[in-house]
Amino acid sequence: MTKLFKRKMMIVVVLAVIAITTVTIISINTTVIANSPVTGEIQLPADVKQVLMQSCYDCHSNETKLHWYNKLPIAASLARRDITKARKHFNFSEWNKLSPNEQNGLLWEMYNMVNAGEMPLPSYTALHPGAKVSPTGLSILRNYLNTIKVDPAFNADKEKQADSQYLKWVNRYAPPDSLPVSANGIKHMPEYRNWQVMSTTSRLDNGTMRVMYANPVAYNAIKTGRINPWPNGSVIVKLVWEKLVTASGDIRPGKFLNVQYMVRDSEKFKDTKGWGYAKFETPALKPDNESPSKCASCHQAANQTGYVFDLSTKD
Amino acid sequence: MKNAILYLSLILVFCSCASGVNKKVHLREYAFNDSGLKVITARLNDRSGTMSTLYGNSAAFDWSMGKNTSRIGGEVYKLVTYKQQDHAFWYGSRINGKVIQVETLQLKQQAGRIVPVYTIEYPGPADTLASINYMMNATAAYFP
Ligand code: HEC
Ligand code: HEC
Repeated sequence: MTKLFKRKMMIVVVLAVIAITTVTIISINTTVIANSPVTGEIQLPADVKQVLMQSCYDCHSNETKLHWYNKLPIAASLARRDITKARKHFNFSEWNKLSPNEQNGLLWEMYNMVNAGEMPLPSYTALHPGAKVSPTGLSILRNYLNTIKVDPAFNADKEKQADSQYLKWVNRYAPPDSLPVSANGIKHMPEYRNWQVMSTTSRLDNGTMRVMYANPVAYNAIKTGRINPWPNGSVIVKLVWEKLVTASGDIRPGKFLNVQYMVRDSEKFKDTKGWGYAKFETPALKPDNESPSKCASCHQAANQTGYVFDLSTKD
Repeated sequence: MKNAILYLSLILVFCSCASGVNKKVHLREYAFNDSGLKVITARLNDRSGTMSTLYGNSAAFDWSMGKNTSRIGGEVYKLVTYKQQDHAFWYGSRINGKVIQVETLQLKQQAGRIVPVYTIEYPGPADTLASINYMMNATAAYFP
């Protein structure tokens, strides 16, 4: 070993020590994210809670547990970004801030996000393999959901509301003078009634039923299997009604709730994966102000079919 | 720093191969074309695990919206019944699956009387009388 080599080694070692010390000091002093107090914890059966605590609490609660590598530079800011975003979407520690409707909707969405492989974030499970939800975990969640299904029963009030809506409609039917437009520029398209029905669904999670239409561009895309991505100009419309149980026990559309749109324009709507989302509420078709990015983030669960859920599949 | 680089490359490696647990799906072909008829309403029957869509021509439409006080010849109804199936991407939703029957009802004017003419494709376990009764008396669902 020459003297020169020894000296070089010394320099390398010293530099390495300095680097490691710096990183350690930065890391120890890094507050990745603060844990606010738990103010309204979610109440669930113990086994269900256990699954969520193990897989979701690091991001979606105020009980985040960090590891040493989360404090490293860059890693810390990534973790901070994810946790901040996740808590904003929903926070198990502040669950009571949500309405019962929002809570119910989120529970079903959680299962479906996990089932689609979207949650927990793959970048997180890569380092925490134990946080992946196992098949047993999934069935625990599913069994729990089965206990909170919305069972439509005959309801005289609901029937009255539906009837009065119907009577107003048929007695005063006139095409609207001007069509409502959403904030992102999507206009209600009454011509959807001439399009082909894409599918119909019955929801067990929220007591509604739906009819979906595809415009000719979208319908053709489905028929030719060109939906990854969907061609520009595709439009999908969804109509949502409350379920109404009739005397015979069948269920028919009751009160009309809203109409929703997905409009394909990969340039104009590139912030929401190429789909423009819009929703118009009640017969007055009042544009809903919910941010389209919320629509898009849930539709992520249908990434296999270009973010469109309602396509019938073969078993 | 080395650690951070290692960590970052790990993230990159894992992100790029992250995949869902959903199995690959195959889309179902459309077995029914509405041929210009429009949807009047829809119906779910959870006991038989089916869902159906009722279509009609404009005369049928007028009737279903209470515009005509008496029946006129020329009303055409089509009742398409599907099997319900679990939605592939959304636990909590049931979607229309296989078509099990398509029933058609035409009201014809014959010698001053209205005569219902009933036909069925994909003969399923149809309860013909119940279907005719339903098609003749369904009220329109609210469509904006
Ligand atoms: C590593 C952090 C992390 C973990 C762990 C995690 N999530 Fe998330 N989650 C996020 C982020 C970040 C978002 C927001 C994504 C976006 O906006 O694109 C999110 C969004 C969601 C949403 C969408 C909410 C909405 O309002 O549309 C659901 C549902 C969800 N997560 C469920 C879960 C469930 C269930 C678990 C546990 C099985 C889980 N997450 C674990 C980070 C995480
Ligand atoms: C919590 C998850 C979630 C959110 C948030 C969401 N959707 Fe959906 N959407 C679904 C599911 C699940 C379906 C299919 C199931 C059904 O309709 O029964 C669907 C279906 C649709 C469809 C029919 C086409 C398709 O993808 O099947 C349209 C159009 C649509 N949504 C528009 C919107 C708009 C507009 C918003 C925002 C205002 C929105 N969605 C927000 C879950 C969501």
